[in-house]
Amino acid sequence: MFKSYIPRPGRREYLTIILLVLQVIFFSFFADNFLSADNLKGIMQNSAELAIVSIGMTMVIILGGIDLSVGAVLGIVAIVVGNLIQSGVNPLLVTIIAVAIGMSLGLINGLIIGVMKIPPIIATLATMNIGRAVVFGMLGGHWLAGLPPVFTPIMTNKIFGIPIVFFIVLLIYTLFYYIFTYRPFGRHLYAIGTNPEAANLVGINSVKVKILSYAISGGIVGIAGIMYVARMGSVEVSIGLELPLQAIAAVIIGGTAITGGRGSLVGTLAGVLFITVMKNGIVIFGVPSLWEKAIIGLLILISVTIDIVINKQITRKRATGTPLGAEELELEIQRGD
Amino acid sequence: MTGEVLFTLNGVSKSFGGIKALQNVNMKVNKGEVLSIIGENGAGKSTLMKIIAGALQSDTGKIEFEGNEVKINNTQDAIDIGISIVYQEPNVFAELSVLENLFIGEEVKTKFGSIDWPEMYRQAAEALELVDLPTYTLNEMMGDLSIGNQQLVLIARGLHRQSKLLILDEPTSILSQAESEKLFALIAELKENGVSILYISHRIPEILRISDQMIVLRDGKVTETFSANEATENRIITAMSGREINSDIYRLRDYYDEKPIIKVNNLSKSKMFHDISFSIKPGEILGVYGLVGSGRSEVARTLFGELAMDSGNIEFEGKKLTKHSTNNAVRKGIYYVPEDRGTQGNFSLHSIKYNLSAAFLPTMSNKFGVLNLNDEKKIIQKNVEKYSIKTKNMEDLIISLSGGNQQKVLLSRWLINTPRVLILDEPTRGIDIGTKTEIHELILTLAESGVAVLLISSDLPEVMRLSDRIMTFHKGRITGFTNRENMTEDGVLRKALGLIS
Repeated sequence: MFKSYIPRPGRREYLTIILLVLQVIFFSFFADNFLSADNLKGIMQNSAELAIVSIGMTMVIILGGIDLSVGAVLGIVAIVVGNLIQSGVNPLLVTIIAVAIGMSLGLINGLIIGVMKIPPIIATLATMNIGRAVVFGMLGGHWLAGLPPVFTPIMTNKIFGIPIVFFIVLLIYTLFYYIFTYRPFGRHLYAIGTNPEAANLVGINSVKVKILSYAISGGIVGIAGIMYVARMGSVEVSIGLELPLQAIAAVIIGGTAITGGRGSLVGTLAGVLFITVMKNGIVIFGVPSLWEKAIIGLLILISVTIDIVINKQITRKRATGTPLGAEELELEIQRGD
Repeated sequence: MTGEVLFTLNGVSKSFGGIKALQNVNMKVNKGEVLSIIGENGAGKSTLMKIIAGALQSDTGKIEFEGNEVKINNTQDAIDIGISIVYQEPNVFAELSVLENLFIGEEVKTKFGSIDWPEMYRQAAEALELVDLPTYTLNEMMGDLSIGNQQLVLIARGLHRQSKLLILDEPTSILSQAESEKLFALIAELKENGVSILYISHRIPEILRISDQMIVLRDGKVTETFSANEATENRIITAMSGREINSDIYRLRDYYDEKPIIKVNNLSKSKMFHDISFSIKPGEILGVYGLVGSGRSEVARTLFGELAMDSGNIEFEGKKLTKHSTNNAVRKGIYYVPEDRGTQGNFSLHSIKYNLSAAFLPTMSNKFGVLNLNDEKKIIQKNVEKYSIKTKNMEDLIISLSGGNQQKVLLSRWLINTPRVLILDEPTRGIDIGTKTEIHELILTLAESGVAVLLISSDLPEVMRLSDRIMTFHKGRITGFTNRENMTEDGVLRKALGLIS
């Protein structure tokens, strides 16, 4: 399937896929309803937003950045979408507006990070908090409930017995796989993440790539906002509170290096499924859901630890930057000078 | 092909602050020729290369390429004209494949703007053939390649762009013998094809072997130009040395104690230095001269407890140091003023006062560990005056001072308590002559008060001006000691270049 010279996922991603398979096997043995059609459908419906938001998160983490504001942006978009469908605006127009709002908010992040050079974690921490206040203000202390089921069919209607939303997610993943692999923009994400200085020296416009990445990430959150409304039929003030943590966890569990420069969408998708299946298992086993956060936190720690161990081995193998090559020193000693 | 002029520099000068890095440099490169540039660290080689490659701009001077005057304002301009540079430490994307490293930033695209991987692969295979690397290398991660092969990939990148002038900046300093041989064979082949090469190195034997012309730089000036048949090792050394040695301020002094205060026995650290033994007496200045990368700074950092040694030992006042750490060193009175003020020395966001007192806060505190601000102020005031640090307000940021005054702050930081052993790594780099002499005076005064000084410097006149003995380093080994009575620039330089065994 992959030509050897086309960039492809590394061994770290296969580790996540293997763990995912083991997890599925475990739950299908020990949890009765796990493999039931209803449960699998639920997994697909519930993981859709996380799955696509994690694409944008993968982009910015490969760049060496992060985006904490995804949950707040999701909230703002969902409220706008909710109000628009209540007023009976054309669904296609609503979709375009949702993506446009998401992109504009992402663009603000991008400009703060790319132009003003504010560290991504601080920039998006700030915009996240501003965004949460906006969500609170827009809702005015009430739920936005009883929304007309304009977008609900993407969750409930099925093709070959599979919810439509699954195909939407698959389509977006395919599109971004193409961007990550076949567009110079996608490859430059990796270049900037690995060696920002060298990226400048080969004439890559890092500022532009960064701004664009955060904007695209915002646009994807716009689509996730529609999925949220379709799934819930309402918007509450705590919307998307868990989203940044879960998306970052999915990306990191999927093998993307938190230091940037390495990672893939295949890994991210595996990471998303890993987290969703785990959450599902917790519910089936009747574990109190407050443990969910603790487990996700633990998984982040384990994944990053694995990365550190792998990196140490790589550096040991590569051992560059020393004044003398070992081989040379040996030769010098043999020649006796 | 040869004989035709490809590239000329006329009257190129460049200053950084008040320091003249290059003065009126002229040179001419013919097509298909290797022109080598020889000089010590700090002679201006790197500045010259960066100007040609567009990473720096000259203050004055003209550049001509193929008979036309050109302006090189940035690295892209240089690439467009046909100039490629391979820096000493390869600047690569370790996490990307070799194929991507060859093309990143200038990918081959289809008409839809997608990356044309098959076409790129085809072109890359051709490029790798030029440097004799197997095609399968293209699929490997750049970071998994040896440094030598990474360098070859970068050369291939330059050749693929049809570069007419290839600059190699000390390429063999990180290569093994076998890799160097491979590089020389490649250079010969490139010459055949009409590519000109600017070769920077301080390894005289290899320069004599591969060059058609040689230029010797000293203190930013061209001191001699040789063609291949005129050049000899002796003539090159003479052109590299021959400076005025200032013996004006050196004073003979009696050592406080004939027993060394610190003694290093057979110290080794894999890939850095090997079998290092020396000792310093109280009141003695031991100079260390060697090229950057010869292991001298690493030895100093090991002495200070920052790096761990693989084998050997350090004796302090006759007792072996076990569990040596920087903390331990400071408690014993072994202090280190690092090479790089910016990253290893300064607390750049803080005041002069903070920078001065940082190392000895405990001595300015009472028995409960509470800092006595009055004491701190008094001690610092005294230091500022004693070492004539030129500042109006010690609450100003340290980076508001000139380089020379910053260095005085970092030095006097350690002088709040009298040091026993003071390690100075490049104490006057980038500092104006006036301040330099002040620092030299200070070093001599410290030695007179019984401090053992280890003075590391790339500035040979400086080492010769101050040292009682000079220890020369070459490729991680000591190549000799020179006493004050038989110190000549020529002799020390030869030892540091590894020319006398």
